Amino acid sequence: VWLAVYDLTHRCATIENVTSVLIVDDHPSFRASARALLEAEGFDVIGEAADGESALQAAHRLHPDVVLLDVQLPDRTGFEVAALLTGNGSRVNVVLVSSRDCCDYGPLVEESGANGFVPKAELSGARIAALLR
Amino acid sequence: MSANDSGLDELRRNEARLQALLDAIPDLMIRFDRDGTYTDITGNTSGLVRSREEMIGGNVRDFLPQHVVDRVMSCAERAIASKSTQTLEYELDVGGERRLFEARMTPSSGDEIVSIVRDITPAHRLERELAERLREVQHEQAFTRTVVNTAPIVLLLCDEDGAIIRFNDTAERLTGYPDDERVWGRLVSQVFVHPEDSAAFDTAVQRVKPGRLPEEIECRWLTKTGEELIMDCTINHVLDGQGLHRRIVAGLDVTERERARLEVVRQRDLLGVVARATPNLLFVAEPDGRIAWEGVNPAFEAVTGHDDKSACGREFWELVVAPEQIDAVRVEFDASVESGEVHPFSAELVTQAGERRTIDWTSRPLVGLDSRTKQLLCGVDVTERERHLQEIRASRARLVEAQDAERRRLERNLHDGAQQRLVSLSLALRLAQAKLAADPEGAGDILGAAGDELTLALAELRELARGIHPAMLTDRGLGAAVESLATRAPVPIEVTAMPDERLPAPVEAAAFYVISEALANIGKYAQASVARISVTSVDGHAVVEIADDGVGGADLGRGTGLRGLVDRVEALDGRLEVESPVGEGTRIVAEIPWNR
Repeated sequence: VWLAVYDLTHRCATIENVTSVLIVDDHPSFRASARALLEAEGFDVIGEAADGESALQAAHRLHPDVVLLDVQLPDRTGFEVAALLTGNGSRVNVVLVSSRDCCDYGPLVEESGANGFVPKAELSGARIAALLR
Repeated sequence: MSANDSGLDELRRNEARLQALLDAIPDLMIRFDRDGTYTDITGNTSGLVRSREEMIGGNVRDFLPQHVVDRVMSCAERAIASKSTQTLEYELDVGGERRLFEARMTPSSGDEIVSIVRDITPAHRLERELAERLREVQHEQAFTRTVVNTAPIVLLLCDEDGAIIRFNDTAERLTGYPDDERVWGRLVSQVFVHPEDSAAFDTAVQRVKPGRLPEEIECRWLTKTGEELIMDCTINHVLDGQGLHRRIVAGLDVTERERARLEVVRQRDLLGVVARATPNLLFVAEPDGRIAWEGVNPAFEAVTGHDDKSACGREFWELVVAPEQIDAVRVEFDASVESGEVHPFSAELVTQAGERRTIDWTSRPLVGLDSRTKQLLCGVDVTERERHLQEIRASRARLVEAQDAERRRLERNLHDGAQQRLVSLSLALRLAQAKLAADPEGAGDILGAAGDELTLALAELRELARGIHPAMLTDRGLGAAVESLATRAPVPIEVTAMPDERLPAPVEAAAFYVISEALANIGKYAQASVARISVTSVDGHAVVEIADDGVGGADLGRGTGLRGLVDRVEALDGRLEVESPVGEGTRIVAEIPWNR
């Protein structure tokens, strides 16, 4: 417990300028859990979206520092949304999440323009901070 | 005239008469003494070795060869001694010709012999010729008898009514009847001919007349032991040695030949029956590919629409083979002709109606009915088989696809359901853990919510497991599993029949999924108020029936659910039918064999 707290504190110190997060996932239970966890770790969850289209709109409207983006969305894949978000020289950080393992997706994560991938069960502020530019 | 004169006159008259008599005898008369001196020679002197004048007064030893002299003098001595006539035959060369003489020697006194010599050369020659002729005739007869008795042909001599006079050894050997008085006089038709053919034989005998062509008849004969023979008979008129009108019956035993012929006919008839009955396409082709005059069989006609009339003489590839395959078929056919061996190939044909059929052909050499080597082509119509194979392949593919789809569905359900809840649970636990020291109450709330999430995750996992394979079906059988389905069904369910005993597991599983899918469809589309389910076991089949009172209109061709059920049932050699007239509900019946 101590290590975790220490780690969280340490990481939080490193991301003090990038704390706004947009959570994109079609499962409300995950969105709620992720929001609670990240807010407890000092992140500012500024919005949620349940599909790719609304995620693009929310990102355009809210300008989050980080988009926490589920790979499987009802209307399009998280890779497509990541590519759209990071295209045209955008500086937004995208962290892909999934209940599957990263190796299930091969090179798609890297090719999408996202910062990286975190399994949902291992989600934490520290894992996100480690992937930011 | 004195008495002496009168007696002398009488004596002279007697001598004259005697001389006249001697002159009248056509033979040569020689008188000679006991020592061999010729005293008189009269009569036919053409047989003398010298002139009469030269010889009279001479001795036989001066004119005749020594061996003849010895025999003449010996004969003369025997005649004198016996005072009787002795006969001697001897040969002499007279005028360069060998001649035979007969001398009859009679003693005229104690010292004189009168020998009447006759030239018997012509008579002897005639006698020898006759003897020679007789021998020839005897040889001829022996030859004829041998031929008649050894020739492999039955010869019977009979009278005009057909009564037996005699017959040859061949007839004896063949029929077992000896040629003797026990059969002489009896009708040929009664002794030898089969009773069913005897009337025809008698008629043939009666038709025989002098100067007409012989009668010919093939009829059955019976041997003495009852064995049946088939005889090819020729009956002809003949005159016998006494000039009597007879009938000669010449019969050839053709039993074996006829049996062989009948066997060939039987085999040909059998082959004909087989060719007509077989469902395979048959035809005979010339080496150049034209359909021979032997033609095509009914199966060929039934499949292609071409009969002998329209097929014979035409190249079969032009007649029936699919245009794009003609060149390949010609190559295959030429190869079969060249190899002289059975040659298989496959080709599509086009019927007269334009339908395409897939045929597996074999081409093999065949000696035709006209003794020429041709090709017999036998085709097996594999169209339906190929169609079934394609259907099976498609069914397998659909089953695999359905399995894949089911796996995808399961993975999705796991991912979207229990897995998401467990992820949330994981995050909640870590959040609670982080809050435990600073905010124990908040951590407790999080843990409580996590417990609820865990309960939901477990429920979803149970439902998923049931969907993979219901434990109820495995543990308690089809009846209990269907009852369980019925309790969760969207409409009231009546289960009207269930088998008392367990069915094989694959059959129970197939029946369960048919019912499960049918109930799912009822819930989605049927708008029914009630459904009835029955499962019965009839003649080794499980008959599954699901009927509802909904809107009907279900179609096997639409969607994958019913199609998947058909595949699953057909995979067990069963069949599934759907009756679903619009507005009259839907009835699904699956028959699944369970004692395969």
